[in-house]
Parts: sequence; structure tokens; C-alpha cells
Amino acid sequence: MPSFFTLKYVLFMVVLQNALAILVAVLIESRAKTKAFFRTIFFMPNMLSMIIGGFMWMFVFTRVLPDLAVRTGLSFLDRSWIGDPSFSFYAILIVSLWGGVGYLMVIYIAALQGVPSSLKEAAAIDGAGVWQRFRYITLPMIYPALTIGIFLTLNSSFKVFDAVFALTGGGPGRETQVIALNIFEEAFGFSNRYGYASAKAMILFLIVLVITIVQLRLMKRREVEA
Amino acid sequence: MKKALYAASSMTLAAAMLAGCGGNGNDNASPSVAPSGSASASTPDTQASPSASAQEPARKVELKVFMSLPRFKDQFDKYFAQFKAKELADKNVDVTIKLEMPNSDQAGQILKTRLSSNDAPDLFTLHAIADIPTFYKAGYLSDLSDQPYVPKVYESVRKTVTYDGKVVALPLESLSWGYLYNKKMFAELGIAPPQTLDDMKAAVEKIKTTKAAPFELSFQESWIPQLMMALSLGGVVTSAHSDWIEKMNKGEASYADVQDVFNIIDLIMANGTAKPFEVGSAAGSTDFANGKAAMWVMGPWQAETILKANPDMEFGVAPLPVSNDPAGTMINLATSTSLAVSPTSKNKDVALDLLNYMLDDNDSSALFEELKFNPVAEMHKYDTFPWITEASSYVAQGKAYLDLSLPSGVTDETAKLLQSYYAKSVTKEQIIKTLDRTWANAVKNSK
Repeated sequence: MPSFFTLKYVLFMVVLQNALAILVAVLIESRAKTKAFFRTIFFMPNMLSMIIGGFMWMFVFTRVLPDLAVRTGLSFLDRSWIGDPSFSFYAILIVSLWGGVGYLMVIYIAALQGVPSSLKEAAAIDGAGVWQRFRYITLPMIYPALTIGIFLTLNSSFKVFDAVFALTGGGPGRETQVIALNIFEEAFGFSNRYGYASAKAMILFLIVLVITIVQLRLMKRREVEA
Repeated sequence: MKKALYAASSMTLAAAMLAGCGGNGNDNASPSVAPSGSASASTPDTQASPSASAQEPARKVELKVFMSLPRFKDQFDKYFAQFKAKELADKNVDVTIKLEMPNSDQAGQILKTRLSSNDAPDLFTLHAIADIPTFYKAGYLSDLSDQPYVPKVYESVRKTVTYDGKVVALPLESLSWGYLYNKKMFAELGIAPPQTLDDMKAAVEKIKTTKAAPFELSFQESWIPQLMMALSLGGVVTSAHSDWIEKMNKGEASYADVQDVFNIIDLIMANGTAKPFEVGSAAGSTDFANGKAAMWVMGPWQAETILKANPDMEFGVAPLPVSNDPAGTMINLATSTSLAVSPTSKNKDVALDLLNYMLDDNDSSALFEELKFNPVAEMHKYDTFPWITEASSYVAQGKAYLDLSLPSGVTDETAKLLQSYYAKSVTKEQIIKTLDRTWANAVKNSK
């Protein structure tokens, strides 16, 4: 159960966190004047402890959204965001993305700045549109950054703890329990089985190791140079 | 040039470090001067000629006290300050009390970790029913039978902290609890606390005609849903299956035998407030105090929080009906939080002094009154609260059971399972199966 939930979480996080980070990075790079401002805004959640961020979002989910639903008539907002396991997954996802996108965004911004404008100009002269320029010039050029981005998200989302802990504590019951929380419960919960817990932690480590090695091998092979 | 820079910076660093040490030294030194000065007022062993030993410095002792009662921090801080003054005056001991009060959700884990890593606090609170047997076997408890406080404790309460023929803890919270109900609402609707399941169903229907929900559900903290199981299991087991615990320990019984407990749990869950997983004990108290629900499966230990939210709140304690046999409708009688002394304490004499001071002839009554605890010993002469009187009246009628002693881990597992049960991700049958297995494992592990 915790492993299935974690896998689902990893899948969503790796895709969404990188996609959003690239999107935000591209948008920020396209600004002429307010680059620094938006960069700061998007990076700020990363500077906050996720535990505190989790409690802030807890307030948003349990107080602000239901209130908003009453005021605006958007009844779909009035859900048991924390209590219902099917919604709390998205609540956890939102909080994690809010906290995690900024960090990757910085990596992608750095990569985007390294893309030579001569290539883009040449493509534009050849008649490539905005999407084509992004798909065939920019994306291959920031591929090394993508390797790192996916590596980092894989790594961190397998080990996710704080966001879930602050938001749902793994509850109701064990519906939203991720592997790290399960290890925590095994070690410091009612049974105090430190041995089992450290064995589980080792297994989690091995899983993350193998998956990231495979990921790095596959992606390194596809990297190109200008 | 560079060398000079290095030299200068390392000098600065060294100076900074020295300054840091010096600062600490001063901090330690200053308090030790002050108390020995004030101690000169009265020194114990020379009471005949106090002036002679006026110079004798007070013995400095640091006590680590671990309590799982964060909501009473102010009261205990005050009481410990009184103890400090008394100990200094009577025995010339300068006590520093390091009070640690983690959230009751985590207190158990933290305490167990500390105890098993030989870092035991001098005094610590534990749950009399749940913890004493295991803690005693592990050697974490001192035998306190010969302490002066023991004969003062009421006999019925003393039984709950006696294990293996020895008194091993000092009872703080002795409880008689059921569920709480809003007296005003009950009076307006003309209902008395129901004594059978059918009466309860009728009451629920009546409450539904008002704006309030019949039951307050606050399931964010998993120990709260667990209370329903504690009460219903106590009622069912004590009234109809008195040898069930024994049989469970032998592996001859199952939760299926007592599945009547789910009748009332289902009723409560079906008629509660919305979004229970977003409400913890604090928010639940506020909701209940402001009349959002008529009943709340919660003990009177929440009284202070409720009254803080609404000082005019009138609530009562009543036993939870579990079946249509009124005999099973019982109040839970238990000592929950009690204070124990670690046998490894370095200053056991002072630790024991503090322990005895908790039931001091002069000061204890005021403390227990302020904490809104039930009287546990003869020096507690204060007017009890109406809800305590009400619960005690059930106890006097014999409608009470002694808190069941479940193996460790079963209660916590129950707590998680009931959360999942509300979220409909486990069925009744799965709960029964899992609890049977948890119980069997716990019995196996304790052998």
C-alpha cells in the first residue's frame, strides 16, 4: 500500500515537476524586465521549510477553499481535501509542486541561458515556429539539465516525507502513507521495530539507487552538444 | 601579506571561541551564586542555629521531568516553582527542573526511545493501564510502595497503579469517562442520556431535526476515533464476554465475538459532523462548545479546552450504550496519566521528594483543582465539577468497568483502522482480521 502510493506520487511528481519547471523557466526567460522578480517569487517556497509550508496549505485546504466555494459558488472547491484519500493525493501533489518547482526552475533557467541564440536565430530564418524552435533547438540543448532535473525529482520524491507528514500524517488510517512515513512508523511508532525499519530504509535506498542509475545511463546516451 | 591576514583571522577566531566559552561559564556561575545567598535564610540540618551554617552552599540538582500533558504547562511550571522554593527551604537543595512536554501524540515514542537508550528522565508520566506492565517488566519503574504518599491515595485508585503487588507510579489523572453531551441541547429537546442503543437512535433522530449534528467527529488525531472502540469494547466485554481478554491472550477468541461494538460505532460515524479528518481535538472542542454537535465521544480531560472556547458551556458525561441491554452501558474507570520515577535517576532522593510533593498535604489540592483532575487522594478537598459528579454517580451505581488492559500496539492499530474505516477503505471484516493478528503478534512478542 505505501509503496503503491509512493510510486503513483513519484510518477506524477517526475512528470509534473519537470514540465512545470521548464514552463516557468521558459516564461521567465521570455520576460524582458521582471526576470529577477519572478525568479524570486517562484523560488521562495523552496526557502521555506516544507513542514511550515504544509501547515500553511493545510489552512488553505481546510479553511480558505471551502470559504471560497461558498462565496463564489465554485462548489468543486469544497472537498475534504485532507480527509478523502483520493483528494488528499492531489493536495499532497500541489504542496510538493509548490515547494519543488522553484529549485528545478533555477537549474532550467541556467540551462536556457546557455543555449546559443545563434542557433535559435538560424532556425527562425529557416522558418521554424516558436514550438519547433523549442522542440528541436532548445530542448535538445537543455537535455543535460533535464537529466539532472529528472534525477533530482526521482530521488526526492521516492523519499518524500515532510509534505505528507505535515499535511495528512499518512492518514486517514494509512491511505496516504508514503514509504518514508512507513519506515518512520515502523521505527518510532507503536512497535518500535528499529531493525525492520532500517531494513526497509536500505531497500528503499537500493530501489532509488537502481532506478536512478538506469535513468542516468539512458539519458546520458541521448545528450547532444552544440 | 597573506600570512599576516591568516594570522589575524585565526586570532580573531580563537578570541571569538574563548569569548563563547567565557560567556557560558558566566551563565553557569551567576545562578549558583544567587541561590546560595538566598539559601542562607534557612538551612535544614542546622535549624537549631541557623546562623552557623548560613554559608553552606546549596546542593545543586537538576531533575529531568517528562510529562505528556502539554496543555497544563503553565500549571506545572508554577507548581514546580513552589517545589523549588520548598526544597531549598527544607533541605537546602537547589533544584533545577527541566520540564519536557511533548505533544501526547508523540510523547510515547519519545519516552520509549529515551528509556531504551539509557537516557531516562528522572520522572516521567506514563499510562497506568497501557504502559505499566511493559515498563515494569523492562525495569523502567521504581518500587514506590514505601513512599509517604501511598497510604493517602484512595484504595480504588491505588489498585490501578499497583502491579505485581508493588505501587509503581503516582496517579495524576484518574478518570471516569464516557462521552460528553451538551446539556442545554438535551434539555431543549427533552432527551435524557440514552441507556440503550434504540434510545440512542431515537435521540439521534431528534437531534437531527435541529441544526446541530448528533455527534462531533474529530478524527484528525487517530486517538480520538479510538475512544469509541475503547468505550464500546469495554461495555461489551464487561457485560457479556467477561473472559474475552483472557481468551484473546490464549488465542482462543476473536474480535468477531465482540463485533457488537460496531453497532454504536456505525451509528456515530453515520451521524457525525462533516470532514472529520480536518478536525483535531482543539478544533473539536471549539465546535462542540459552540453547539455544532450535541455529543462528542471524548473524555472530560478536554474540559478545560472546551470551557476556554465557551465559558458558558454546560456539558455532562454519560455512558455510551452498546446494545439494547442497559447493563452494557458503562462508564470507563481508569487511571491514565501517572508519574513514575526512573530507577536510574542520579538524584533519586530529590526525585522522590518531587513525587511526594505532587500529593503534598497543603499544596496538592489546589493543583489538582486547577488541572480539573478528579480527586485521587484524601487531601483533595475541593468541589468537583458537575460532569465529574455525574460520572461518579454512574460509578456509584456500579455502571462502570475498569479500563481494559490490551496488549501494546493493539490500541494504536485500532486507531489507524478506525480512521480507514471512516474513509471506507477497510471493511469491518478486515478490521477484525487485522486486530486479531495484531493481538496475536503482541502476545507472541511479549513472551
